Amino acid sequence: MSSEDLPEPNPVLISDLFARDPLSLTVTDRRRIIEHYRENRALWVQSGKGLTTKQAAAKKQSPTGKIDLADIGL
Amino acid sequence: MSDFNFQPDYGQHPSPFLEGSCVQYAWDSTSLGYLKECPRKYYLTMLEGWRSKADSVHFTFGIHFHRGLELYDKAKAAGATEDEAQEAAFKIIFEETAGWNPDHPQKTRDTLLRSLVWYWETYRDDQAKTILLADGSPAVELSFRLETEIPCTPDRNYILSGHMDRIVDFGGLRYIMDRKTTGGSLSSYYFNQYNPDNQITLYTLAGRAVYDIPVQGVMIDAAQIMVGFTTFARGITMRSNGQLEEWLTDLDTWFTTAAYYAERRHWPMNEKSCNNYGGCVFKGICNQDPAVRESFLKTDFEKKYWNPLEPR
Repeated sequence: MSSEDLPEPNPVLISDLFARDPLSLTVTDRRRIIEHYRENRALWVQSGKGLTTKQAAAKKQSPTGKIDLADIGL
Repeated sequence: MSDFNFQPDYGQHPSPFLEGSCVQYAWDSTSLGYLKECPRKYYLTMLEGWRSKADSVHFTFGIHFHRGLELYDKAKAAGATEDEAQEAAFKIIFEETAGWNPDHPQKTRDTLLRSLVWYWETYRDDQAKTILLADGSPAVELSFRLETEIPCTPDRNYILSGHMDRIVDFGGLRYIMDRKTTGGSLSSYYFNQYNPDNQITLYTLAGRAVYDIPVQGVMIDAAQIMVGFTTFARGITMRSNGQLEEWLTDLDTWFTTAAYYAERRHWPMNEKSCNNYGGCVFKGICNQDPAVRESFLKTDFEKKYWNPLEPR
C-alpha cells in the first residue's frame, strides 16, 4: 500500500465520535475509529519516522522511496 | 516513624501483613522492588500507603492498556477473526475510558486507544501464540500465588504473588509475555535493564512452579508512548536454573531484612537510590525536614495501599 492509496484521516468525524456517548456508537462507528488509527499508523510508517536503521535502509533502496509495510515486518 | 499507627485499608481483600504486625508475609515484585530499592520508599508506599498523583496516571493507563490486550488475546484464543477481536476489545475499552481525561501529554485516552490499535496492527501475524492451560483456558492474565519454603512464622511460610500477562509459544519454546509501556526509547539499553531484574526472575520462577510449564524466560513487549506515535519493540530475557536458585537464596535474606526493619519499626533511607530512573517520586519528600514531610505528602500524593494479594 502506498501513501497515495491512503485516505486522509477525517479529524472532524473522529472527534465527533469521541464526543458522543460511547454506548450510542454502532459497530460501524467503532470500526471507523479503528480504521482511523490504522491509517494514522500507515502514514506514520510511510513517513519513515521511527524506522530502525535496517528499515530506513530498505526504504532508501526502494526505487519509489516508499516501503511496503509487510517487507519490513510491520 | 516508630510511633506511626499502621492501619491499612485493603477493602475486601486480605492483608499481606501478619495480623497486628508490620511484617509482610505476601510479596509481589512491586513491593519487593521497593524494599530492595530503598527501605524508606517501601515504608512510605507499603506501610503508609502513599502513591504519587502523577503515578496514578501511568498506573491507570497501564491498567487499560493491559486490559485491552487481554480482551483481544482472549477473543483471538476463542476463535475470533482479527477484526472481530480488535472490535470487541476496542468497544469495551472505549466505553470504560469514557470521561477519563488525564492531565498528561502522552498518557491520554486518545494515545491509549491508538496504542492498542497500533499494537494489534504491529503484531497482526504474530508468531508468538497464546498457549492453552491444562484446563483448556487460554494462558492470559494469570494471577499466581506461590508458597515459598521460607518460614515467616512457625506455621506460615512467605508467599510470592504476581500477575502474568500471557504465556506464549514462540518457535516451539515457552515464554512468559510481559507488556510494558514507557516514555523512553526502546534501545538495547532498555532491554538490558531486565537482566538481572526482580520481576522477570520471579515470573520465570512462577511460570515453572505454578503452571508447571518449562518457560525459557520472559518475552518483553515494550510500547513507547509518545504524543504523536507509539512504537513497539520485543526483547527476550532468559534465566538459568542457577540464577533462579540464587534469587531464591537472596530472597530469604531480603525477607529476614524486612522483618528486622518491621521489628525495629524503622525503615532507613537509601540515598544512593534517590536519582535512579529519573529520580524517586519521594525525593521531594525525603529532601525536606522530617517535621514538614507529612504536609508535602498530603499535597502531591494520595492514599492508595498497594496489596500483592489483590487480584487484577
